[in-house]
Amino acid sequence: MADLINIGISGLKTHQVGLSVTGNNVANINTPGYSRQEATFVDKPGERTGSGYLGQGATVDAIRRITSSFVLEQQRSDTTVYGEREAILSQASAVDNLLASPSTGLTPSLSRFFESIQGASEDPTSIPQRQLLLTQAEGLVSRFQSLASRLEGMVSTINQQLKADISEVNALAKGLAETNLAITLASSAAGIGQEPNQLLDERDELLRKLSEYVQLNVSEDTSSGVVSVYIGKGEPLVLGTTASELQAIQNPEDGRLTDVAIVTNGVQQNITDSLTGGGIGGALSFRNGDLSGAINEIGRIAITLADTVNKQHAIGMDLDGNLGGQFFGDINSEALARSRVISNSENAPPIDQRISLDIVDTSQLTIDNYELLFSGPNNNDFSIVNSTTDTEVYRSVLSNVFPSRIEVDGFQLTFEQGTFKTGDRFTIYPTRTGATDISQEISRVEEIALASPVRAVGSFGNSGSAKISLGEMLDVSSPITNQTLPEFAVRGELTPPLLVRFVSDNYYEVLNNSDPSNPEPLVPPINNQLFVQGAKNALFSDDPGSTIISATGPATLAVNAPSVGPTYNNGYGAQTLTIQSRDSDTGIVSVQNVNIAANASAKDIAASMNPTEGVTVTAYTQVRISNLVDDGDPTPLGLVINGEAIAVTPPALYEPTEIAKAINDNSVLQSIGMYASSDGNSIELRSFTGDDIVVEVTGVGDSVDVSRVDPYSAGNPTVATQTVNAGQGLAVGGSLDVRLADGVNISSTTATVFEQTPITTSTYRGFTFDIEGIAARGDEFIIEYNTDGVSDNRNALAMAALEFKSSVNGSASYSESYAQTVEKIGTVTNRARLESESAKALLDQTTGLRDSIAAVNLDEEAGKLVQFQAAYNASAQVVSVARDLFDTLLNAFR
Amino acid sequence: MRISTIQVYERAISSIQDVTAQQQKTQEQLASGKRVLTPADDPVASTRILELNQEIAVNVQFQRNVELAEGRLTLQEDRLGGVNDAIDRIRELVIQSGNGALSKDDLGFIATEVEERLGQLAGLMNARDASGEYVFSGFQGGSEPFQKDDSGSYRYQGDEGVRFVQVDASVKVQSTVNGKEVFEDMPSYLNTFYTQASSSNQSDPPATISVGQVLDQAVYDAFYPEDIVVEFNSPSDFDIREKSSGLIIQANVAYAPNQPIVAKGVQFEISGTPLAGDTFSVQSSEKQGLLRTVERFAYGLRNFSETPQGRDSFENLLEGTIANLDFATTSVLEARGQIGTRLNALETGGEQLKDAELLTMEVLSKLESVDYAEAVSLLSLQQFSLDAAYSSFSRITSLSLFDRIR
Repeated sequence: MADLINIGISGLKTHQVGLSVTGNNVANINTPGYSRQEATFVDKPGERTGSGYLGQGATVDAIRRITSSFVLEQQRSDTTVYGEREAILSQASAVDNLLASPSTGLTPSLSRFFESIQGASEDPTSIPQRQLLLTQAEGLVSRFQSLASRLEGMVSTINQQLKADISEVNALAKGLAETNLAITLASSAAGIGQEPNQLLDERDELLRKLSEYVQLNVSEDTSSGVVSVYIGKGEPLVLGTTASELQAIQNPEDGRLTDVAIVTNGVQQNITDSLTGGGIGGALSFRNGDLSGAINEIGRIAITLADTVNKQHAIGMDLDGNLGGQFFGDINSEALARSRVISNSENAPPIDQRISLDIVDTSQLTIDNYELLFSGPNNNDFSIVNSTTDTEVYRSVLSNVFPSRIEVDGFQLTFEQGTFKTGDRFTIYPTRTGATDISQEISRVEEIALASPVRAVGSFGNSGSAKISLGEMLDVSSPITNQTLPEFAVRGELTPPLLVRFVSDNYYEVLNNSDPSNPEPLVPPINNQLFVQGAKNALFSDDPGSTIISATGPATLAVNAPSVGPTYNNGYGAQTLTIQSRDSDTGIVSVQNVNIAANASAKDIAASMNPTEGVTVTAYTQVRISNLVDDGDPTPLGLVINGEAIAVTPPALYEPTEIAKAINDNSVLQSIGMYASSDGNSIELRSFTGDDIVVEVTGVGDSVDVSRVDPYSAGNPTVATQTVNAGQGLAVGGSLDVRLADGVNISSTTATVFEQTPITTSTYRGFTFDIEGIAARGDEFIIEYNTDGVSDNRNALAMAALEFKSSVNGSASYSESYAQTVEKIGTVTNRARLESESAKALLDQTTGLRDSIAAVNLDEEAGKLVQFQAAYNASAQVVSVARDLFDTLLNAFR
Repeated sequence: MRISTIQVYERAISSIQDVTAQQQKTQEQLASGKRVLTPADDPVASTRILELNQEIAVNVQFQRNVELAEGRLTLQEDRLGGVNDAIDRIRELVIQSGNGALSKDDLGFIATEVEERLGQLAGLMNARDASGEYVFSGFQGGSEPFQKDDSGSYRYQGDEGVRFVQVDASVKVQSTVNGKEVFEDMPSYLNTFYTQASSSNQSDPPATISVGQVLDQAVYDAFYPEDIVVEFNSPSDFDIREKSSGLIIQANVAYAPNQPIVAKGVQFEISGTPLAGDTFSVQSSEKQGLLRTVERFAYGLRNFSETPQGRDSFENLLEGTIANLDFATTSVLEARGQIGTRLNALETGGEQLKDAELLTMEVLSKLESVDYAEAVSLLSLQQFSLDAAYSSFSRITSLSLFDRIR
């Protein structure tokens, strides 16, 4: 009977617990992280009786959480992924909106800038058009700067976010360590199998929250329920009951970036690069990847724009007649060049190194950052690594001579000074601050160079129909030496002004026209240039490296004695020339030998050299015949030129002017390009093709003086004169102008026609002109400074054409490049959106799974309430029956 | 499968949120008329949209260039028309003065009108555009192309510069002509010359040389095409040489300002105070500018001498003038023809630009604009699902076992 009461009471107690657990479930239905609990009932061990084991009622074995550690782990990992995608999405869509919006993007300002150049080109003297151009340029500059500052602002927002996340993680980690301690204490106090459910829920919820920030690696001591959490490459965030602390530190390479470090036992370690997932991982990856890329891309557009516009503007001429100068600020000013290389804050002292970075070729510029690494083993060994692709792009040994320069990927590093040691690191940002740094140099409307500084005019007296082109400006300073070309050294002048004069219908020379009444040969000379009638003839080389060598044989002249079938030799010695040419792309040097036979004419020498690539030779011969002496005996003075006897038709006298005419009338001499002129005293003979000019004298006792003429000096002075007597002859050799393309040079082991190492002079003038059509002897063209050329718009058209030119990386125009950046960010955002959606779906699914296992269902609890209540009522009934039995028994004895 | 109560609520709410978000976006698309709201909506299309917008902006600028160039060319055409009319009137005067019955005085009256016409021509040739730029000056639009020198003759002061205007990405149309091309570079009926003081002369103010005239065509033709150089040995005497050879034609001629200097059949005057070393050149030419032709005609009228020889040389002058005026007409007509061709090209180009703009707009709108019918029907569909989500929410959440336990 007592048994029955006890059994009843055990039932009452047990189901009371059941009801309490159910009530607790109902009460916690909205508690985050709460796992529904379940009381597990067991029957009490039976008492052995004669009739067998008799049950002793029920008792509560345990109150158990219903959860799944597998699902929880899945939920954490999904939370991490979702947190990362969300972080990327929120940042990327901000950039996305910024770049493409017409009010903040680059495209409208860019096209307005070029529109205003077009407008100015249509009416170059108009001040309002120029003002508009200045205003639009200012707008473009400020758009670049505001874009850069918004993007940089995003970097600092992310930095702030990181700091907030870090303190949140620290709080959570500390909470987790404390919970771990509580769990240890609770577990030791409780019986076997009895878990501190609430603490475990709290622990799981802390872990879930942590996983929002960063990817975790969780290991659980199943016996105690204590968890340890590792992040990054296994750095312990929580080890049992101790928590490490995360710290926001400055990036050693780039002080404007916030990095994450972990402090364990007082030791700080930078773990930024190994953190993935969660809000922190997402923010870091966007900041260091796509955001940094976008900043660099826009920087590259700004640098390329400033560079290309500046280059074009510099070769123009402004309204005041001055050369253009810089339109935008110099991209390679000292301050900017030095700001692009940053010393790593972890470098060992002394920090006395100074390195600057000049951008030398915008068409090769990448959007990557680089690292300069003194990697050892010697102090001067260094390499440059592209940080984006992680490939080495340069390796060398630094010389100890400063400044020392190297060039890679379109930029030039200058080691200015300092002690470089193994282990030193420098970060190279060629493009990062490009958009921030762009500025406008020009401030007055008159300074805009819409004209070109050189113009050409045909002489009024030209009888030919040849026309000179408007010309093309290439440079005002040599691309090789960076020095101002001598042509433009004097402000407002072309030094020297040039005169193109046709010495025959097919040959022209270019002279120094400083004194128009007495044009002089140029230094180096441009003599005897072949003009192809009807074709387009380029006057000057557009190759900045082109040079010229002038060569002429020995100055002495020797008379040959008459003999049978006399041959006359010009006295030029044999020579072997070595022509070296270096391919500018491959750097490969090829060597070729050209043999010159003794006494070869200049024409033959030219013919043997011309087939060599990069070598263009013009040959010509100039001779002066003077002092014509006729002793008056019956045989008159006679001249035989190159085997052609020159006869003057009577009644004209046999005197220089008439001889010159007779020579010009001789068809054989005409056919070999011979031309004669006379001032009444002497005869000037020219061979435009460089044939030897052979002069023979007939007539007893008569003689002439034959002189070799220096074609390179003003007034064509004679360099050697020889009297040729009757019956004698003399051959005069010609001169050679050898034009060499960039990288070609000529040398020889002997000096005969050419010097051993001939002096080369640059022929690059920084501009080119074409003459096209039919020219006639005596036609002249003047090339001069474009003084007062206010209506000229050639440079404006060239600047406007930049809009469509593939300047950026040599493959895209400014706006195309910008559109690519927008597309890139758009794609990133689009992907982040999709990934975030799918991560959300996955997370929802896992959360659903967890909830379906662990969360409370009210209907279920209602059912349980009814169930337990019924059992409770029944147990009470058992007690009541037991009492009735007891009463019955008592009454039986009454 | 077990479902927890919280899931019931969360699922219902999240589906409502999803539909609301979609509806929001459709509403935004409808309100802005744009299908692509941010590049992320369609990265490829949005790049294209940026490019197309830029294409339209450039196109509009080119259309503006076409309009401006048309205006510029029309102005030139108009001025050239005026020049043509003036030439016609001068031609009439030439024919009129060929009437042998006219006296020296009568010719003087004609000369007065010719001089007036000369001024009119110069005025037309010195035309300026709306912003004050000289139209026919070449690159030197800031200064008058045809200015009178000290000897009273017009000289071309401009250059051969011409301007192009960009009317399409790869098309440039010449929008100016220079005075040299139209009014100077034309053949001369007879061999002629032009005079020039060297720019390196030291005298200050510079001594000048008159445009001169051919006195004896036969003598000059024999000398032609050589040039003559006058070089001062001292301020009081000069040499006359043949330029190419340096042959002396006349040595140590005494200098007197404005005295006619005659050499090889040509006559010219030098005035001012030249210094030793100053040079003046008489360059042979087979070309003679329009103004020079008219000036020389006026000079001939003024200096007509009633002798058989004078009559002969006057007849020659008239013949040459008529021929030269014809050359001028040809040159001006040629220039007008070119301008006409350019105007035609501009008109066609302008129309093509407009067509291209429309086409680009169309492509842009296909890429960028929302399809209203589709969007509106989508919106009502979303409205419908939202309604459904609301009613299902209230139904599902009203179910509870607790309500049934009494």
